[in-house]
Amino acid sequence: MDRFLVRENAQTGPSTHALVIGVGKYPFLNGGDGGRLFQDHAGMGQLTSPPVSAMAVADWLAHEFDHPDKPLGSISLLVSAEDPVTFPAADAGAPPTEVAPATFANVKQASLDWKKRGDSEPKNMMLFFFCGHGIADGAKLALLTEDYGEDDDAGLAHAVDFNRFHMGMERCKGRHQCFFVDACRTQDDSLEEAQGYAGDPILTPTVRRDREAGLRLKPAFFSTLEGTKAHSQKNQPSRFTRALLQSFAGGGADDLTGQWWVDTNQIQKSVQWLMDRAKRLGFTHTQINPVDSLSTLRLHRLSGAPQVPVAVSCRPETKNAEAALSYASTAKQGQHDPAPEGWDLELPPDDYEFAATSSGTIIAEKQQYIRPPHREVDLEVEP
Amino acid sequence: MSELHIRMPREFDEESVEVSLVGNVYSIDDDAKTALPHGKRNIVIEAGNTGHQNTLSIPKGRYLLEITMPSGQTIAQDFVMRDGETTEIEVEGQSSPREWLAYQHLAGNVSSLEESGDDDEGWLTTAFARGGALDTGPTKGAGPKAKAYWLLVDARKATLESSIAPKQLDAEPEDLQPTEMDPTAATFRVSAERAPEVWDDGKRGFVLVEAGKESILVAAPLPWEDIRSHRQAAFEVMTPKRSLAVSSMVRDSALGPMLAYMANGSLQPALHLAAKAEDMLFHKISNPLAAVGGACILLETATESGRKNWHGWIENLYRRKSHLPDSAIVYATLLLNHQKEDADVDKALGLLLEGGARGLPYYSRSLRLLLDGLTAFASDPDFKRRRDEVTAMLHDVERVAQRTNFRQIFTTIRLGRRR
Repeated sequence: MDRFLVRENAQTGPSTHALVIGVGKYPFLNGGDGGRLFQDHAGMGQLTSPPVSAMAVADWLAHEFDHPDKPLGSISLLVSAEDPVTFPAADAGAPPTEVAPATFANVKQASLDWKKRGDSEPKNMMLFFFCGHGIADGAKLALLTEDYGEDDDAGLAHAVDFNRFHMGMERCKGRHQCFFVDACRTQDDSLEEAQGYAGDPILTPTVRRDREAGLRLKPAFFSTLEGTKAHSQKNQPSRFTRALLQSFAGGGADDLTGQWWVDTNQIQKSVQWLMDRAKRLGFTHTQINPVDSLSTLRLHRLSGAPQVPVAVSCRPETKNAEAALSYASTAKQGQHDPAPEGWDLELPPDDYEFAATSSGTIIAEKQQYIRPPHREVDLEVEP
Repeated sequence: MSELHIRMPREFDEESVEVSLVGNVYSIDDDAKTALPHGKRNIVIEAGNTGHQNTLSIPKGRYLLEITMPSGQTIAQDFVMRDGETTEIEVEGQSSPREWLAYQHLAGNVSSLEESGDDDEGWLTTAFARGGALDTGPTKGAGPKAKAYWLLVDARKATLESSIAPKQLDAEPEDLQPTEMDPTAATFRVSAERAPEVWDDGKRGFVLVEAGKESILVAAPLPWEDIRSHRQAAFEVMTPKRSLAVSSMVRDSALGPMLAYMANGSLQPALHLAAKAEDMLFHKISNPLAAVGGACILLETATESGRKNWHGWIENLYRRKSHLPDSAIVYATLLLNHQKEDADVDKALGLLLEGGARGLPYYSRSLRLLLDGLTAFASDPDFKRRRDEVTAMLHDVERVAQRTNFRQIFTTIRLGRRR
């Protein structure tokens, strides 16, 4: 197993290869321990969310991901956190794997290795996830690795030009590719001054000339719009990653062929709604997640029923603070104490009876069917 | 089978407007699952202020109707079908914060009244974000008052280079008056009367929005024929007053939603509407710019490289409307993605260079395809033909792209010093 892999499953046919990167430690940005501050730091500093986000995504891939036609082949994981990070081994009792830091050299080598793994089979699926600082200039986006700013004269030497990297993946024989970029895209003077240079693309963009190779499907999901920030809470998965994982669990699923599959179209519907709902968690800013090159890709088969995000609220909302919520279906039932902001639930698809009760009396009830991507249940309380 | 009647009222600031939306019907109970195991997918629902009734034949059972709005929002409603009885449902969507912003709301450019809560300016937060303002939230303190101008120019002068230095466009700016006065935002509308009369008269229009020392240039997709009503649709530009940001939308009830679905990443509904309008879009090409939008959707939703009918439509669009930068660019992309022979690569390069030379693309999507195509040719170590031309044009395209708000459907460029 190469030094960036935390999972490697020998597969004979098409398989899924993931590259997961989380960068929270930046020695040359504010609060860093690199001994000096990068002169073009633009106010950026240490982050606590990206390592947690990357570990959560890698954990989901290792334990939940399922694709019968493209089973998990490998997970490469690079994490830069305040303290060294380990990832649990696949075999119980085996020592955990030490996770390599997301320095530029490591990210470059891991990316090249990942691409080579993708070359083994045209039907391979390639998953890319990055969480960390990002800087932008219009459509250009530089993803910043741990050692960003090591040299005042070459800050972008430790950044990845994401757009060109994405284009460079045309070189990969694995034609199903999906990218998730969870990073700020705020405008940065250093990119403007670099006149088109946005870091090392790692893979050189190329013109498609192999007519035998299938069409490349390459959706790229971004956590935020160009020019805006991505938000997170300290030591928690980011707002986007949290919504993404919830979407993998069910919000992003559809049963078009009778089985529940998470696909890229449904993910887009689900993630934005979940990010909007995150306002309840204290995220006050609007964060809109765009997607480029969206094409339909089946990413993950659910082993059971999807967990559908459901938001329940009394109307008027003031009643939430005094009402208890109950719900019941053949699949699940439950009760919740009064909650001023309403109730966020995850329920399997089914026909539910929802009821709000105050002082032992039912003040509102409603029958509603729940299925992905999400549902909102409004319980109208008579005045 | 029983009949389902669906009404979906929506407020607009003009009479007799129906917009085409796309939804799914899912089966809930055993009766429904037996009769329609996978429900009905991609049904078109006409919503508007005409009282239009959408009629579907559905077997008895309990169902869920889910409509995806062009903004990305989904609206869902349960209903029951009884044997031999007609079921009527009225679907309520979220409301536009202002009546005259109905198209902007439909496109997801502004938040709904319900989402805004008690905040008078809450509906603008989306406009700030999508419109390309520096902050995603309203800033305190009034910004400079925005003014808007209509520029009708010789299309040959609307080059990539002059689009970031509009004085070179050599146009006499005409004042645009706000269509609606609002304390928080101004809306400017360009009607068909100001647009070039025909496509081939060598003219094209831009809207220039200025606030203080900053300005934004928007490629106006005019003339734009509503393929359903055959009326000329107006082009609308909205700008919040506290910060310079621009959201635009064409007031087309049939294809406006298709473009908004595309811009917001709901490509399956967009594809369905494009397929529904196939004859007018691609055979008659009654609205070439709308056809370019449809072509972008077909290119993005393709999952296989084999030969398809619509490949001929894109080629035809280029042959008949080759003066449009966008038609050459989407044809080049088709040739690159679906190559049949080695010569297609050289041909695609020629088309990219031709498209770029024809000036600023109308769609930001086309600009992105041009940027990506030229970047690939310029970087590829094994392809060196016409390298000098590629490098020079890529330089111009990159300068424009760095100033472009790619979240807007139509090419929208921030002028002056970038921030």
